[in-house]
Amino acid sequence: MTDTWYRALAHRFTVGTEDAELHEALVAVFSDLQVGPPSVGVHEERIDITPSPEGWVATSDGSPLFRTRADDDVISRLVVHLNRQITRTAAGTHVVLHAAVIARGRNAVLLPAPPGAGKSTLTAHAVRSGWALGGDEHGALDLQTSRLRPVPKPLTLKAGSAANFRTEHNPPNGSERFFTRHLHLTAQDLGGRALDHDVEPRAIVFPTYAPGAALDVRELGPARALVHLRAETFNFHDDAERSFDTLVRLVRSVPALTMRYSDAESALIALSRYAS
Amino acid sequence: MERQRLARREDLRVERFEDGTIVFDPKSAAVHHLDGPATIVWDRLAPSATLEELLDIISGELGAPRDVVSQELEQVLETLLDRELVVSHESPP
Repeated sequence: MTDTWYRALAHRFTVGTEDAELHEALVAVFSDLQVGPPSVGVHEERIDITPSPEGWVATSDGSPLFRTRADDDVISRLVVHLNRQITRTAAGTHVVLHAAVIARGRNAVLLPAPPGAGKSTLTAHAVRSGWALGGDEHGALDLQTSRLRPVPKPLTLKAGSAANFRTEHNPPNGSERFFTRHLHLTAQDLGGRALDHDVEPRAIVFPTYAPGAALDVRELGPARALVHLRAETFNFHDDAERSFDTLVRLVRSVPALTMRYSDAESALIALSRYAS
Repeated sequence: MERQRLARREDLRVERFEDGTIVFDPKSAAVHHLDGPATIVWDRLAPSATLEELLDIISGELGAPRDVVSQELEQVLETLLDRELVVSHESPP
């Protein structure tokens, strides 16, 4: 099987496997990250995933990465590893927030939130409604320009949240067994597209999904927004002063809001005014 | 605390916003949000002050009794000292 190369932020990697069905699944899942072969001298992480009698064995540049018995755990474990690598390789260029990014044209809404706030599900609805996918896990703010660099990894949805999207999931034949607990949806799966250029943040919105709640959008002061953003950064310590400066510029230049919602459509209508 | 002179740490970055003051500690990379009362105290710690001096200034400015101001002032100062945003020195006799 030929190698396929990928890039997420500054991290370049390739994933090899002898298993044809897993190979097809990986190519489909990471399609928005595909790039050409690396130039000579550029380090690229080589991940190999090998089937064995005990399940799956993954290595990174020849060193053990993970083992799992469950087919439906392989891609999730790989995504978790890549999340760490993406953040690690952003040092010195981007402050990376635990945030989704959705955009229209060059205007983006940054959605920082801790796990469980419904960020990925809202992002999936947004992409299905015509927003471009900038990422559902990494809001990467350029330390110099304060623009957002897209990291359009697949959207990972847990089985419960995924019910609305399962019909849009179109795994290659035979690879369904890799997607029973989590769906990993590309922008294309959702009928949308992934961002391929930097975008300007126009609003910071801290979403919270609350079943049955009426839409409640409130302004958040910039000082409070700054504290919340700091709490959602992955790599603030890598370049703390420049990260702080970048977050200060952000909260001084765009509105910050909290948004409690249960209906994604209403939430997206509320967000539209910031991306027009 | 009565005999101590209190001052802001000099290496901190301060940013003012309409909903409070942000103090960034480059040593710990911590970001601290000072609300209204904490900002009032913070602003009066330059260059330095004792607890008594702060009580005089703040109760005078707010027109509030010293015993009312005292309790909140001590709480704010404890927080600022705990977070190592303020340092204390023995006041000369």
